[in-house]
Amino acid sequence: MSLLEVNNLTIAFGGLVAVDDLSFTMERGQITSLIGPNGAGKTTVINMLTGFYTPDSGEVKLDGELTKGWDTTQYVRKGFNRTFQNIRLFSNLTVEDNILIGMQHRIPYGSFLSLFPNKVKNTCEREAREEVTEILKKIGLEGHRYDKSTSLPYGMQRKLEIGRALASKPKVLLLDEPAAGMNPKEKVELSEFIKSLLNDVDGILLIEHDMKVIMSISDKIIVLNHGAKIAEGKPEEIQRNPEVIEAYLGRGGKQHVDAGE
Amino acid sequence: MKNENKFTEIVKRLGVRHLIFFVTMIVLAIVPLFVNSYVLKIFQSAAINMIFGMSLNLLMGIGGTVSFGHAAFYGVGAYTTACMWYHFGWNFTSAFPLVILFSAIAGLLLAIPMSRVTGRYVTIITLSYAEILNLIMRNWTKVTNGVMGILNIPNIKLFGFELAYKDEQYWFILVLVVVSYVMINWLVNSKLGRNLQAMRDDSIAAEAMGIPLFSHKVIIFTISAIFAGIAGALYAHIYGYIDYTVFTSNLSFNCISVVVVGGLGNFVGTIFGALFLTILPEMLRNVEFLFNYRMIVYGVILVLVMWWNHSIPGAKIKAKLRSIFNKLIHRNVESVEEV
Amino acid sequence: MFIQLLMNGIALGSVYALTAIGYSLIYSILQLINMSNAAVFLTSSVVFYLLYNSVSKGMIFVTFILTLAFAGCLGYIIELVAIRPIREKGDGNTYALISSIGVKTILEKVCQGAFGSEIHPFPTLLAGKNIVLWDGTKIEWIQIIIIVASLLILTVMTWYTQNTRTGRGLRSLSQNLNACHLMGMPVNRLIGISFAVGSMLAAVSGVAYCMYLKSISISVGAAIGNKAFAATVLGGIGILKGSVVGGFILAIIECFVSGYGNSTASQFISFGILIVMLFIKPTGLFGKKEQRKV
Repeated sequence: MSLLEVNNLTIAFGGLVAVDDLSFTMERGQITSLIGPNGAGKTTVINMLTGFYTPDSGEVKLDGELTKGWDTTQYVRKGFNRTFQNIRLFSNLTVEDNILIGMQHRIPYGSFLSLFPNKVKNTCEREAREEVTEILKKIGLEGHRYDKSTSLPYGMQRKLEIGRALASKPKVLLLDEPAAGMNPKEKVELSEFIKSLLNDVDGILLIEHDMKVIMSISDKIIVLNHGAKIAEGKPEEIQRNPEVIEAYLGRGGKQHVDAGE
Repeated sequence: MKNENKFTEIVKRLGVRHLIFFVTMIVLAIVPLFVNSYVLKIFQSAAINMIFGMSLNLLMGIGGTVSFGHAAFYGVGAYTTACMWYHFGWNFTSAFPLVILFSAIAGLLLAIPMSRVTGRYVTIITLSYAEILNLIMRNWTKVTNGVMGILNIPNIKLFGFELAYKDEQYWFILVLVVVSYVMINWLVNSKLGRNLQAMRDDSIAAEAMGIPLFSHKVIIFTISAIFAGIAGALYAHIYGYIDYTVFTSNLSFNCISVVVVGGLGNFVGTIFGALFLTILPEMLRNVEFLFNYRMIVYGVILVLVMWWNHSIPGAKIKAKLRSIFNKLIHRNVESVEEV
Repeated sequence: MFIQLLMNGIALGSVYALTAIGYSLIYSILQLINMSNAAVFLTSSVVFYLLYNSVSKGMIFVTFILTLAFAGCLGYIIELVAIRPIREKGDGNTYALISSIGVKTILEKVCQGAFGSEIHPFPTLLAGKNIVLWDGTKIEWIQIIIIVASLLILTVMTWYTQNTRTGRGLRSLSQNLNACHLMGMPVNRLIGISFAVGSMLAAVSGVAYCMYLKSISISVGAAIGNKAFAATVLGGIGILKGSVVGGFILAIIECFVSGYGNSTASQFISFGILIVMLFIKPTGLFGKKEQRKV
C-alpha cells in the first residue's frame, strides 16, 4: 500500500480551476517532488493535503485511510505536517516554544490541567522539553534554544520551521519551497538535510523551484501546469519530457534545448 | 556573600517580573497604614482595575483579541452579585459562584460569533455585544432595576465575617489581585498559554500545527470574562451602587488604556498601568481649572503611548535617548579607567 | 402614521448614512475603524452651537460654513497627529485604532468639560412649520431639508469620486495603497483629505441631527456614532453604497418599530439586526466573500 494516495483531486476558486483532476501516489521512504511554473497550483495541493482547503471532488488516502471530513487538527494528529512558502514562525516566541507548539498534540495534557500546577502537567512539560533538545540537535540550533525565533538568520528560520513540523512526528512532511532565498552553498546543505529527514518521517512531499535541489534528491517528480498533471516520473525522465520543457520554456523551447544540446 | 548568592538564586527562580510584582504588592499592602480613607478609596478602585486590566490583558496580550466590550463582563459580574443581594438577600460569598458562572456564560456567548468571523469584525462584534448587554441592564427593569440602578449594596461578607472597614476591603482585593496574577501566570506558562500565544502570532501556522482555534478562543474568552466579572462584583460591593451608565464603552476603552500603558502581555505592567491611570485623574481633580477636563487624561495617554511605542517619531526619539544613555554610561566607564 | 414614520425614518437615515460614509471611506482606504468619527460628530455640533450663540449670532448659514471648515481641519489634524505617525510605522491597524479611541476620548471629554451635561436648545430652520399632507399627516420642513441636503451631498460625493483627480486618487487608494505609493501619488495628503471629508460629513450629519431634535446634549455623539457604525457594518464596511443603504434600512426599521411597537424595542433592534447580520453574512449586505489565503 502506498503511503499517500491522491485520486482525482479537483478544486476551483470562483471560475478558476486551480487543481484539476490530480492523481498521484507517494511511497514510503521516498521524496516526492511537485514542480511546475508559478501559479500551477502546487501550494493549493499542500493546502488541500493539510485540510486548509476542502477539495471540490476527489479523495486522499493516508495509509489507506480516507481523509474525508477531517478538520485541520485531525490532519496533524493523523500524520500530516507542513512548512510555509513564506516563513510563518511564531514571532514573539522562543525557538524552544516554537518547537513545543509543533509537538503540542503529542503533549498529553489538556486545557483544564493547564490552569493550575499539577504532577501530570509538570512531567509532560519536562519530557517535552527533553525531546526539544533532540530536535534542536537534529536541525542544528542547540545554541539558539532561548532566542526569539525572528532574531535568527533566514536559513535558520527555515530550518526551525522544518524542525517545528518534525516535532509533530508526521508521517508525511510537506515542504513548500524550503530553498527559496538561499545561496547555492546553503542549497546543497539543505538538500542533504532534507534527505536525512527520511529517517524521521515516512515520506516527504517537496515543492521547489530550484532544479538542482529537485533533481538531486527526488525519487519521483510530478509536474503540474495550470492545475493539471502533465508528467510524472524519475528525475531523468522528467528532464527529457517535451511537455515539461514546453511548460517551462514555452512553445519552441524544445527546439532551443535540442539546438543547445 | 553567601546571602547574595541566595538572593540572586531566588530572583532567578522567580523571574525579575514576578519579583517586582510581589514587592509592589507588599508596598501596596502597607499603604492603608499611611493614608486617609479618601485616598484609600482611590487605591481600592486601582486594585479593582488591576484585576480588570489583567483579565483584558489575558485576552489582548496572550489571546491576541482586542475586546472593545470588556465592560460587559465587568457589568455582568457586578449585576450578578448586586441582583442576588437585591432579590434574594445573598451575600458576596454565596453569590460568588454565580458571578463566575454568569460571567463565564457571557464570555462563552461572545466567543461563539467570534469563531465565525475574521480579524476586523472582532471590533464590531465586541462593541455591539457590549452595547446589547448594556441595553439589557438598562431596560430589564424587573431584574436590574432599570435606570434607577441598585442602591445600598452591602459590604463584602466572607463566611459571616463582614469587611466593614476600608483597609480590610482593600487587603481582600489585594489578595484577589495576587491570586489572579498567580493563576494567570499558571495559564500563560502552560501548553494552553503557549498555544494561545502561537495563535496570536500567526493563526494560520497555529492551525497548521493542529491547534484547535475555536475551542481555544472560547476558553480564553471565558476565563478572561470570569476575571472581569470578579472585578465587577468587587466594584459593586465596594461602591455600594451600580447602574447601567457605569458599564458603557467608555469603561472598556479605559480598560484598554490600562492594558496598553502597561504593555500587551505584561501583567506587571498592567498593575502599574492601573495604579497610574486610576490615581492620575484623581490628582488632577484637585487642580481647579482641570477639574472638568481630568478624564481627558485617558485619551491623551492612549495617543501618547501609541506614539511612543508604535510610531516613527517615537522610535526615533527612543533611539536618540538610548544613544545618549549609552554615551553617558560609556563616559562613566572611561573616567573610571582614567582614575 | 405610516407616511409620518417613513419620513422620520428617511430623515434619520440620512443622518446615519452621512456619518456611516465617514467610517466606510476611511475603512476602505486604511482598513481602520476610525473611532474618532463619532466624536467629530459631537464636537462639530457643539462648535456649531457655540458659534451660533457667540460669534455668528443668529446666522445659521454662516455658522454652518464655519463649522464645516472647522470639521475639515479637525479631521485633517486628527490624521496628521494621531494616525499618520502610527500608520507609517506599520505595526498594525490595532494601534492606529487605539489611537483613534484616544482622540475620541479627548474630544468627548473636552466637549463634556466645555458643555456640561445639560440639554441645550439648538437652532433650527423653519421651526414649527409643517407641510400638511392630504390625509392630515404633518411633516416638518426641517425633515425635508435634511433629506434634500443629504441627497445633494451624496450626489456631489458620487460625482466627486468618479470625475475628479482627487476622487480618482481616493478610489485607487482603496484598491491598493502600496501601489499608489509606488506610482508617486501624494498618499499622505489624500488620506488626510479623506479624513477631512469624513469629518465634514460627520459635521453635516451632527448639525442636521441636532436641528432635527432641536436640542443638543453631550450624549448625541455616542448614540448616533454607534448607530452609524452599525449601519456601516450592515451595509458592508468599506463600501460607500452599502453604508448609505445600511443607514436608511436601520433608521426606517427603527422608526417603524418605535412607532408601532415601543421605544425600548427600537433600541435593541439595530444591534439585533447587526448581530443577526454578522451571523448570516459577516461581510455585510454588499460585501464580497473573502477567500482565505494561506
